[in-house]
Amino acid sequence: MRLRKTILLFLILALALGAVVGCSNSSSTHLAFVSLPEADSQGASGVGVMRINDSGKFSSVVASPYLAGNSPGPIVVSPSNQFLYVANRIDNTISRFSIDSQMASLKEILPRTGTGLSPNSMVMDGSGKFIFTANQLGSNISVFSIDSTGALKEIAGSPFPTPRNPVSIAVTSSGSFVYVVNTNLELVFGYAVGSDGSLQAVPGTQFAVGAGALAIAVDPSDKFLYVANSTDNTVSIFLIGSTGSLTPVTGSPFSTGTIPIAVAVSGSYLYIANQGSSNITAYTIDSSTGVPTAITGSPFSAATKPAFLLADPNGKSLYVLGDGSNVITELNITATTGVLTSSTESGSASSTPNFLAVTK
Amino acid sequence: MTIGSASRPLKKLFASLFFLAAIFAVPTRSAAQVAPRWEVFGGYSYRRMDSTSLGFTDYSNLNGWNAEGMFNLSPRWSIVADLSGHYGSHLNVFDYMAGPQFNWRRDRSKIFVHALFGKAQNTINISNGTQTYFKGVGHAVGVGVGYDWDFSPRFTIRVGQADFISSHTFDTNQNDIRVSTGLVFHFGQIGHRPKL
Repeated sequence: MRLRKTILLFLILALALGAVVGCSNSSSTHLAFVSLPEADSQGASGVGVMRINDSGKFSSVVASPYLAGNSPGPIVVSPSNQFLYVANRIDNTISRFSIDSQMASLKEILPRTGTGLSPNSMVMDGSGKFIFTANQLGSNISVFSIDSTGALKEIAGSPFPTPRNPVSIAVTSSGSFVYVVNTNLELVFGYAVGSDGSLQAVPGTQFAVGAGALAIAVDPSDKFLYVANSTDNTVSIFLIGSTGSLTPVTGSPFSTGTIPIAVAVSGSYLYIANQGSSNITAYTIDSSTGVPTAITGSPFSAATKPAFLLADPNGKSLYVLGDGSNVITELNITATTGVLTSSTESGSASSTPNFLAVTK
Repeated sequence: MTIGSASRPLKKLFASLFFLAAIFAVPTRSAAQVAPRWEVFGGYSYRRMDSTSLGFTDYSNLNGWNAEGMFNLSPRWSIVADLSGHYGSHLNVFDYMAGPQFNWRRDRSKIFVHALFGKAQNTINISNGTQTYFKGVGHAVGVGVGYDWDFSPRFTIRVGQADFISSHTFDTNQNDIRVSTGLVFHFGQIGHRPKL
């Protein structure tokens, strides 16, 4: 009897310990990756990794940042969330990493893949078949096929020449068309992508945008193309035709804040970061005509001198990087209206990030 | 970390355990008044580690060992020194702590509760291109309960010991559960048997 009471007491106390800690907290999370071209206080640069939970809270990862090439810049994640690619702008290479989502770790798979000179912009199509880099000093576009292991292979004919100084590039999620902004010429050039990744100019080839055109984006339905004109303080909006040719939407270009420098699209919502006025212009885009309507409350306060925008693939958040800041600002997107509200959460990188990508 | 700065669950657990210890401290006619002077424990240990604080997506299950040396000041009160090491595919955890222990001895068995204070050393074996591992050292605080059963004059089976260990490494807190079992060797004697 005494022994039974003793054992029972022990079990009760042991269970109390277990109850204190509670059960597994494997809540859904995803990973955020930032390019860190500048060395931090420990002398480390490369790719920073953070974990974001369902409520938007950022948590740091011990081994971050991970070493990449010289001056890591544009960064993309494969649709499978298995691989990460970073364009190293001084090395003229692409670093390929395998992603371990459980440990939030990266492992670079060498050797790095060579690109044209100064790959300042990089995109991947929605199915993860090809990567495209706009090589600003090389004045060309490199195209790489991606195999099942995530390995890159430059396709025959790459790099494809473009007019001088292509600054940014966008691809439709179907992978059918690629568009490149040339700031000096105030033009966007369109290319059809063949099944082998080769590029052919679309009918019309070049399409006029505003002065200081810098940022470019395509909406998820592949119907509209957006170009921010940083000198004109406008955004040009185009309908994408079946051949890839562009037709300006009635009334284009549309006004923004001062120095619009980055564009992000979340469903039917368009967001433009205005670096000069430190705010974000927000529009709802008509799904048929492409004509924008300002969202109530626009422009919204953002980070000081916003320089980069990324919409969460889940449509809940908009992430903002500020020029010269280590902070990753998170804004909540109201699903029904597109209104942006401040989040109580934000992330902090070990040095100033210039590009951001997230897993789904 | 001190008790004052510990999390709310840990504070509640401290309060519960010391309340129980106060109840058990009341002497009864059946309380054992003989105890060994020294006890040495060694055995297998499992640790459920709060690796989410280090960036992992979930808790980690680690296997390892636990060892303790106990000096019994009286049949009821001891000083315990505790060492443990736990290992996973990318994680190593090493703790070294010491503290007071209260023993409730009954016939051939013993229930004990203890509070431990010391250090934790967590090593993460991940390469980032410049380092192949990362080591964090910080304060550790633990509370635990256990049950021993004597099967011979010299040897006791530690049927089970469960500890809650809170440590602070890599600028974050880890709240772990550790469960151990094994053998206890005891020698020397203190106390006296009641006169018949």
